[in-house]
Amino acid sequence: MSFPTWLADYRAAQHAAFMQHGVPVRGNERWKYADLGMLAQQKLTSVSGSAEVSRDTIASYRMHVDDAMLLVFIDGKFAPMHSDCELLPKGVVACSLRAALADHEALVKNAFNDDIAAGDYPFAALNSAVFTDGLFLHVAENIKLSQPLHVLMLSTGNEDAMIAPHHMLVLGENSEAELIHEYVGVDGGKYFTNAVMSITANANSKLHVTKIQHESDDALHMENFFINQRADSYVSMTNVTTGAVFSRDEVIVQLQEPGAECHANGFYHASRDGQYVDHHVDFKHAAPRTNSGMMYKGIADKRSRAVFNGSLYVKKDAQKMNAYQENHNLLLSGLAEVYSKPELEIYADDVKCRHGATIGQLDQDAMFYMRARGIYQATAMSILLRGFVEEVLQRIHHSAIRQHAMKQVKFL
Amino acid sequence: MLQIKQLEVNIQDEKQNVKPILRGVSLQINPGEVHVIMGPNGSGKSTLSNVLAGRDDYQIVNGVVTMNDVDLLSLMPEERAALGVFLAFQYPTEIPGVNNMYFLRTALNSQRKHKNLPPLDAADFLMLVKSKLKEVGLDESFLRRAVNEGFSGGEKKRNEVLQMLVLEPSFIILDETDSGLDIDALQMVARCVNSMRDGKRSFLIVTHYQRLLDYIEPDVIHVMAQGKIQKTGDKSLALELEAKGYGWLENGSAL
Repeated sequence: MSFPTWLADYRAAQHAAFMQHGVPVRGNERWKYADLGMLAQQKLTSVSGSAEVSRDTIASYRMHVDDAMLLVFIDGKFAPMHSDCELLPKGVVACSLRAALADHEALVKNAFNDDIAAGDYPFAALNSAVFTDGLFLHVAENIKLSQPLHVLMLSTGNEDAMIAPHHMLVLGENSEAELIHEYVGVDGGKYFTNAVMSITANANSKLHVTKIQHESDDALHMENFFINQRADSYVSMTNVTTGAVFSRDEVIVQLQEPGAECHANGFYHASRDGQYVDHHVDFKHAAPRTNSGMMYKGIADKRSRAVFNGSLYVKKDAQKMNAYQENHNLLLSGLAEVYSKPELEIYADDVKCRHGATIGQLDQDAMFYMRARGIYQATAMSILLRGFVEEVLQRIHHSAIRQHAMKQVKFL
Repeated sequence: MLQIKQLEVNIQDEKQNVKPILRGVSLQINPGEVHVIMGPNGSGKSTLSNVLAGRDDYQIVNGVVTMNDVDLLSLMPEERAALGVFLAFQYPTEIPGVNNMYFLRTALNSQRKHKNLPPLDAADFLMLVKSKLKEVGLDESFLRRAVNEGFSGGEKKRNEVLQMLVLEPSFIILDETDSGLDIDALQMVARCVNSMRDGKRSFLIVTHYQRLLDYIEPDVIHVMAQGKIQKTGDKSLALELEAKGYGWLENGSAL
């Protein structure tokens, strides 16, 4: 397909930047634990055919709530026949990026305001160089979207395919939206999802995002979130990772104006031999009275590896800011590994920051206590693990989305 | 009901040193009886309680424990609970993130499943537990909190007694349930124990204080020291211990 000149130029620039920086090596501190060797074995072709997914399959992923609007992408391409576009209220554009370019080019162009630092985020640059579609959501000022949007990204398991959706969310001043963003591997397969989601939250807007990643067991998954927040905006995000053999999420948040607040929560469960899960969260506090929170919890079992890297950067003039950073991990096997790396870099002098990171085992006293009351060992374990993740999943704002997320987390 | 023969138990510390804790304990508790074990700190009372409930931090060196002729030591803790063994913990465990009511209902329904009884649904369970809450002096808000999390010492002990009332076990071990309780809570524990005495259910009460026995009339009192039962008698033994302490045990002289 052809793109408007400004976007073609943008893609070309990102392509050049990616070619210049290339794929990161282990010596790069941000990629220290990630073994990208498996990427070399992928051919990374783009998806050509248009795969079909049956209505029944799609229905099985629907949330059990009447008013959720489903938007379906199959192998990165928008599938309007499976989507509820007609339910959108006035003032809300939620469609494929291709359609948005045709109908609302000015809105899209406005949203592409920042270049991606390809040196820091090479896969985001790669995505920007090759994407063909993605979600475009624009909520006009003063519009409060009460129904949650359910964005379902289905992969049909094309071997060696790279699926590169580029999602853009723009919240107008004083607007509100709620989104669940779900990646599902429908038919197994060793494909590579390399997604970008950019979010612009204008003054006084409010956004809740829940991401659930349950790609196929052999898939590779990466997503870069670029969140830019203006004055008094509020973004909360809860990121649940259970799928893929290699998965890496980077959440990069810029709190640019006073009063902006962002909470990034996450739960990851690495349950299979060879599985690797990696979460990076970067908060940049650039203005006074900005608030942020990180609450990530993870479980690593079998011979799996999990990485959490949370970094907080507070500029000199971001006085009266408030932040916390928590990462707690459970190791369920002697072969699993967890790397937890909190970083704080603070140049302001009137701030409140706290952080804590733990890596531990299942509480054997609690196990015995439950078993002594007659609860079977496997049930006791699943109750304890559920209790552990609850603290994160409770933070999901919308009750139906919360229940949907809880159902995806299975311990038995 | 419960028979313990020549039970010998060791514990291994972090430095892999093996230390004998129980050095040949024998005990027979008949249906309906209340037995009390008293003795100085470190004599093995809590070890005995935990071994009976199935905690696996211990090495069983020798001995047999049967309950109604079933070999207890070969069973998992949950199987023992299903048979009717209940240990009221000396230090009840806090379980953050796990709702107290959900925990108790899961425990009850696990045991009912073991007995081929249908599970109680949430509404029936709530009815049952509400009536028991009054007896132990906790209000309903405790059901909505995480198991024992942030409970005071007394509230934790009340929660143990609540579990005892709901699960209706047939052999109950109270491991220093009276320690740290005020007089009202102590009387509540005694009231609940007495209400459960039905001629069939048996109790093993571990305590340091004669005070509890003002409210619960025991059938047999054992004095335990250095991993062995040193003396067995009727309730008057507790009064003598209260007066004379345990010094005579260490000196090896007779009471």
